[in-house]
Parts: sequence; structure tokens; C-alpha cells
Amino acid sequence: MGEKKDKEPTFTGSRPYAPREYDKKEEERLRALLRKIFAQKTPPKG
Amino acid sequence: MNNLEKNVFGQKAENSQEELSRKLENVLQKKQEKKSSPSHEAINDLVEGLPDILKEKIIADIKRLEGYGLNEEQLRIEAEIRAREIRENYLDKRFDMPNKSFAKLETMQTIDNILEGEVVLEDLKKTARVSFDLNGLKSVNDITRSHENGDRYLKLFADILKKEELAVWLKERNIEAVATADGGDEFGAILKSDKEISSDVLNEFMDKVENELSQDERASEILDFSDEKIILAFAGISEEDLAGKTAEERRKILEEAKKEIPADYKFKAIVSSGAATLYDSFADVKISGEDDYERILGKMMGSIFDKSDENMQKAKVDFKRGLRDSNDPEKIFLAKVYSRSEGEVEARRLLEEYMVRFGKL
Repeated sequence: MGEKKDKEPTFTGSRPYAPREYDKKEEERLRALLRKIFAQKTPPKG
Repeated sequence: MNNLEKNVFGQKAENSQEELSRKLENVLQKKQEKKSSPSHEAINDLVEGLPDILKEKIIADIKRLEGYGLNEEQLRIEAEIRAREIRENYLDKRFDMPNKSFAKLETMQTIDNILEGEVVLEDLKKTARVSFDLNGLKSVNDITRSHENGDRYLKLFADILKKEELAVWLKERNIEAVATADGGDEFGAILKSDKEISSDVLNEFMDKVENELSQDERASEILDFSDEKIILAFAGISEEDLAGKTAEERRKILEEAKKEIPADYKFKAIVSSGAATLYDSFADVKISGEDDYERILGKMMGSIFDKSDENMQKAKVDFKRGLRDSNDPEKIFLAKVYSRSEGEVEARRLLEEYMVRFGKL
């Protein structure tokens, strides 16, 4: 897991954006977390 | 009975004629009712110019009150109160644009919309936030000795964020955006798409905004380094210091103060920006077993704000370091303009740094 930090900042003030990268384990944790949140939004009826 | 005697539902024409008149009357009556209903056209003038989410908020409230049997006048008063509250709570009057509270509300609504149907982790790349921090506001205020100029400087950036062509540029890339004034020298943009927002688009967007701003010549009119008053104020020379001096002495003082300013220097407005998608910030969301759905939405919203702010702060540090480490006289001077308002400690640190690099001043 980590963020790319390989680009030079521009003069005008931005540090070029690079998407965050997750390893497989973290990605699985996040998928499970998202499922959990979705389940909280739509709890089973009855 | 031939086909001409039938209407589309197969009824007899002579009967349908009567029915049609009745239906038409009914429709006209309903249209009239709708026209006089405060939850529709009658409150349009009150909600004009508000972002859709806020219009819907007011209309939903008024519809609810209609159900309680309030008459037209009462509903109109309620709608006026709500519209006023909404404008006070969610709009920045200085720039006539949504504020940070609105940004939070809109972001939570967007996250809620994403969490529909078969949501997958990659869907979180469809929402991004860009944080902007306008550099040099304190310097503009201090050197011009006027907060009015500071407000003009902020408005300059607000105008760029509100430009129609920027919204069109995003729309061409399938992105809906809302720009917000987040307080002080901070601004933001919420970007939404039904597709993943690529890093190229985010970088192009930030470059576009930054370039538009740095090329806006109004900045050099707000902080005009060809103006004697500004030159003297920058050098820390007050009217009191000049009292009793001869014209020749004044001229010499001014010439001395000018020496520090690069030839034909024009002050530029520069904004530092940082972006993050919900995907980037999702790993930072800490959820406990007691959190209900609303609280989770709030935490997800908070995490994307924190992440884009963090990236913006890193950009700001890089940018200022880049100015200080530069050999370009204009950049070195801009670093001095910024540092002028960053306190004595920072000024001393810079001075020491210059002395190490260039020898005694």
C-alpha cells in the first residue's frame, strides 16, 4: 500500500495527483468494509 | 362504427367528446392549482440560483407543510424563511457561491447515491474532491493595508472557479462539479461522474485552474509593485518615516526600496491544489460497531476532505520550497512577498538561508 511520489511539483502550486495504491490484503479489507457499509444502509427486512 | 368514430381507447366518439372536455377542464383546473401552489412555480423566485440539492430541500419542506393544511400565504412565508436560512447557512455571500457546509452536505449526498445497488470498490473513484489554497492573501492584506484588496484577491479566484467554460470542460469529460468557498483563502471542488475519474483529468483540471489564475492580470492591479505606496509599504517604510524628508531624500529612499524588486515585476496569484478520490481516502475511514449509517457517511465525507487537504498542503510546502530554492529572481522575490507576512521567526530563517547561499547581504 502506498502513494506514488515520483513526480515533480509544478511551479503553479500543485503536486501532481497520483491515485493511491493498495496491496491485495488491504484491497480485500476495503471491499469487505464497503459491503458492510452497504448492508448497514439496506438492512434485511423482517 | 368505423375507426373515425373511435378514440384511441376504442370508445365511441360521441361519448369521448364529452369525456375529453371534462378531462381538459380537469387538467386546466389542476394546472391552475399547481400554479398557485407554493411548492411549485410560486417559490421559484425564492430558490432561483440555488444549487439543486438546496432547492429540493426547500421544496420538500414546503410540500410537507402543504400536507399540514397551511394556506398559500403561510406557505409562502415559510418558504421565504427557509430560503433565507438556506442562503445564510450554505452560501458565501461575498462570492455568491456555495460554502463549506454545502460542500459537506453535497459530498454526503453523493456518497449516499454511490452506495446504491451493486456497489464495488472501484465505484469510489467516481467521486473526487480538489482542495485549493490561495497563496499570498496575508501579504496582499498587509502590504496594501486593506482587507478590501484581500477580498478582491479572493474574488479573483472565485470568479475562475465559477467560469462557465470550466464547467463545460468538465462536462465534456462526463463530470459534474460544484465549486465551493470553504472559508478564508480556502476553496474546493466536488467532482462527480458515472465513470472513474482518471488521474489525467484531475491533473489537467488542477493545471487549468492554476494557469487561469496565474495568467489573470488583475492580481498585479491588486498588488501593484509599480505603485510607489506599495513599494514603500513592502520595504516597511511608513509615511511617518518620510515626514520631514526633502524631495531628493524621498526619491533616494524610493530608489533604494525599488532595488529589491525585479525589473518589470508583475505580481501573480498562485493557488496550491490537492486532489483525492473517495477510493484514495477510504482506507482512512475508521468505523466502530456503534456507528450508524449517517455517522459512517459523515466519516467517509471527512476522510475525502482530509485527504485532498493533505495533498494540497504537501503541494503548498513543495511550491514554497521550490520558490526559495530557485535561482529565478522573480521566484525569490515572490518568496519574500509571501514570507513578509509569515512572522518574524520565518523571516529570520529565510534571511539566514539567504546569507548562507549568497553571503552577507
